[in-house]
Amino acid sequence: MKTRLLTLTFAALCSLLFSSNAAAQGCALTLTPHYSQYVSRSLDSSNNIYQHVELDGYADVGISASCHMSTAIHHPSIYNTIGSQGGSSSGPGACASCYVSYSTTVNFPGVPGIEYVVSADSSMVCTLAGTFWGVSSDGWIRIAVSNYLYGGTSFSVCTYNLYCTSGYASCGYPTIGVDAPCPSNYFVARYLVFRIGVNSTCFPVSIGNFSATPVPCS
Amino acid sequence: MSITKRSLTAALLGSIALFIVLAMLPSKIVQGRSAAPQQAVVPHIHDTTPANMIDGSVHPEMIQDKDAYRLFLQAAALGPYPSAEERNRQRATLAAAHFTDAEMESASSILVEFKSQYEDAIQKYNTSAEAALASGAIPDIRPFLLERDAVVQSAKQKLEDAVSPKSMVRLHAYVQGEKSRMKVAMEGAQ
Repeated sequence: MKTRLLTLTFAALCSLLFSSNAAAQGCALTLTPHYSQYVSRSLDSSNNIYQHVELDGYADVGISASCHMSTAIHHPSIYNTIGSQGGSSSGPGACASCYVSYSTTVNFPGVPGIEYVVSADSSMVCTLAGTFWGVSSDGWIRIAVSNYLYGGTSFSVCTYNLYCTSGYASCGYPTIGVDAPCPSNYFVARYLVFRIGVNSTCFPVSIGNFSATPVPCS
Repeated sequence: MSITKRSLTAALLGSIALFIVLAMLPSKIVQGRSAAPQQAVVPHIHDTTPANMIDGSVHPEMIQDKDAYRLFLQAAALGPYPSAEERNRQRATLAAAHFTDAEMESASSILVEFKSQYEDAIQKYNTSAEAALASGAIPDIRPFLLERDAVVQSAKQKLEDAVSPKSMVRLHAYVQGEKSRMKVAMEGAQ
């Protein structure tokens, strides 16, 4: 009787412990992402706005005995748009611990003063875990123009002063220096303005040109 | 009536006893029993908590130069046969440095080499990582990270040697400003 009671107790305990193990047998893993995103925005002399999104990094993978991580594939995904241009794209799949370096570029023929919606979203997708990392940099972008009037030349540097005949300059210094020779009365500097909500930031793109006539500031 | 009272008292005492027995069981066992049915529904349990990142638009000063140059050089680098549009973008990306034509040519060559070395290093590491995972081991990424940073440092040094100090100062200032457009993994900031 005593032996039977002990056997039953042992069986009950085994049953409880087995349930616990069964839960642990599910594929439990931890993914610790170490990815970075860089959104490079630039402008060329034809007012083409370029947005390049760079996704770079890897994930630390902690694996339980029951996980077959050799079957997991990680895909980078980037949503990169300016106005109506661009879209979503996915990079080649790689192993869970593999290093990923993926990028996309979109360009858009901009018109100074007009604002365009931009999106730059990066994410990492695991075939076992789904999307496990993502960042975004969304907002509005526009080309800003500042018109400058020639002020004088000293030590091979021409001084130009901000001079808006119409509109107002949202970016740029009151006075700039341009390497001589300076063939025109006006210098037109362009900037990219990135806005999130009410916060705007001017980014100098080092694009400028001499002009015989003034252009409206924006 | 007295039988009903006795029954109620017995039931109450029984419930309390059962509660005490359950409460005394180790919590792991109790959770294990309730977790078992969930296993069939959700076979994979993932911790998707993202690692801490440095948002360069908030704390650009926390992003290290080596990480900023890594991302910037990648963005500026092209393959050996770029399209006209890609060349335009590269010129626009490097415009802030005000490179001369000769400097731009040197920089383009250095960046082609950088891109090739960077991708080769990744390919080599990924091949070893796949082999490690296939054998049930966890790949060690640290040697690769050192190699990656060395490739970046080497490209930066070549640029410094190829262009004028003034151009390099302008490029460096631009990269510092670009940190505000970077979101960098904490690992890369340590």
